[in-house]
Amino acid sequence: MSNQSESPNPTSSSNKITLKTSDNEVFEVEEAVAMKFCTVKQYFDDENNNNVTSGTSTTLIPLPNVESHPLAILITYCKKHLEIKANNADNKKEMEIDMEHYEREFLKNVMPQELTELILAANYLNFKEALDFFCRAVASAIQNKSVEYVRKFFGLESDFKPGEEEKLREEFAWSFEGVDED
Amino acid sequence: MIGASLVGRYRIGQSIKHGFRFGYVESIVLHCSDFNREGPSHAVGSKIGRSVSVKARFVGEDHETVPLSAVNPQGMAEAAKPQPHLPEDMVEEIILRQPVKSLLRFSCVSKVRHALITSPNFTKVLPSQNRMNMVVLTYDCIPQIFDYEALLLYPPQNNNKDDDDVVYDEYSEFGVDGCK
Repeated sequence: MSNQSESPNPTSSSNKITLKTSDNEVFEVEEAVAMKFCTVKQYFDDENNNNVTSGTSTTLIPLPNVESHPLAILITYCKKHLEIKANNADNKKEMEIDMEHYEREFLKNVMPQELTELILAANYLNFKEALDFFCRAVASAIQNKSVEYVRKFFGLESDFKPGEEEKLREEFAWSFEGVDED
Repeated sequence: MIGASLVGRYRIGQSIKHGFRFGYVESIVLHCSDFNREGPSHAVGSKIGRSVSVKARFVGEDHETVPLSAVNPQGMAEAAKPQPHLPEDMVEEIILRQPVKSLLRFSCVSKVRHALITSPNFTKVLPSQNRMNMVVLTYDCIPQIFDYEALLLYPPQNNNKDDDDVVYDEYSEFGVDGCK
């Protein structure tokens, strides 16, 4: 594997796109990165159609639903994603191994509560690979957790009538064995 | 290290003026109640319970980017703090990725969840490896494979607490080879 990070898309290598978050942070990202965010791509394409003469990097795209903290992490993830793809363009298996390795490292550095933020941001930006990855991460994190924990995690309240829940728990009693401590 | 007097927002690589010196933000450390954290490339100090210190490198020296690193991964207990909640479709995406045993347990979370998990449509969209992933060893040691719908209809009965012969074994991640 070569460590050289070539630009994944040579035709648009130098173009920068500026993103502005809800807390008024400004991020300058490469076009190849920004185009992974379908919401940004859509906006960018529309802008370009409306104003063909506008030329290069003057576009500022507002992201009113994304804070700077998750966006910074998403950009890091996206860059790495593109890099791994470019490095293993001809070997899909190799790419998956690299990606899995990176994702495992990535999760060590992310707090569980950050995952929620990240999912919301990835969802708004419509960044499919990241969304899938974060959902998988949360799924495996809560897999062995108790019902109470999951309620807290998703901010849900039990709306069962007295007795209903007990009956269900009895019915699926075997699925309550071996649950982690909260 | 820049003192507390420089309240503001910082980003790695951002230019910064301190006295007569100009430089770039080199790293950001988040201080939380029970852990310290380097990076990521950006931090906001107003997050509850967190303060931030900013390390800068001043002109004349090379600017380095700090990777997402050196974090003390906290247990899931952290997640129990109040936080923005996920929209229903995201919750569903996450639930979809659960193994059967967790699915059935989580059906006790709320009525909506129960309705979702036990609905016939839900069993159809479950990934195929999740649909048939439970081996039940009965007391005569014949492994039986139950699929999700069958488990909903006929949950394994284990009313007799002393009956240790019934073992439930998941092998969702290993395919049939994981069957013990």
